[in-house]
Amino acid sequence: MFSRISKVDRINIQIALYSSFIQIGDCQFIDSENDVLAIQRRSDVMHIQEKDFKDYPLFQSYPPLLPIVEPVVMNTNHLQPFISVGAIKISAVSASSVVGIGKTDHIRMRNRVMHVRYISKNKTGVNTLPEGTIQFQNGVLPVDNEK
Amino acid sequence: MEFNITNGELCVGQIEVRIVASSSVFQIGDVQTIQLSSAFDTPPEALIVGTSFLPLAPKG
Repeated sequence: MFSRISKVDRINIQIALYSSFIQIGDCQFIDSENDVLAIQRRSDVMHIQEKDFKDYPLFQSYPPLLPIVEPVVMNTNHLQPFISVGAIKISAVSASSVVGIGKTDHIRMRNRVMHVRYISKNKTGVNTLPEGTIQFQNGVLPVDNEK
Repeated sequence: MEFNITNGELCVGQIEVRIVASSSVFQIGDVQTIQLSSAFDTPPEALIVGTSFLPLAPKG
């Protein structure tokens, strides 16, 4: 299949971490998986018997990806041989994500995230939220003033 | 099914993205198929109040 050439003048990526990648050039198959188990608690002690991925039903099976079986004949006619982009600025690429410049045949990405918050009672019997918890006031999202 | 596409000129000046995360894809170029799936879970029982921080007994 004839495909276009991606032409990027400038790309600026500051951070790429946690099995993410930056692909420049043509590629046949991208298959990416990301599993996250995020446990927040107010404790400095690691338990001997910590929970594992398999203890949560979310990680016991994948959400089904339906097989592509429809007989679609796709005819593409490119009037211009280029996809041109002036400048790209990306702050961070993370957690099995992909930044791709160029032709890719097939992409399959899967992601499973489980959040658990353990809330401990302090001496006065009042529940305390784990550190780093963002509390919304009157159900209003905090405004991002950074510009 | 027959699917005919005519792509004209595609020219983008500037793209600014904060974060590409959790098995996301940012693609500049032609792709035949993309399949994405995501599961996110914070069930009510994920918020556990008043857990004792004593080490749990090992599983039998």
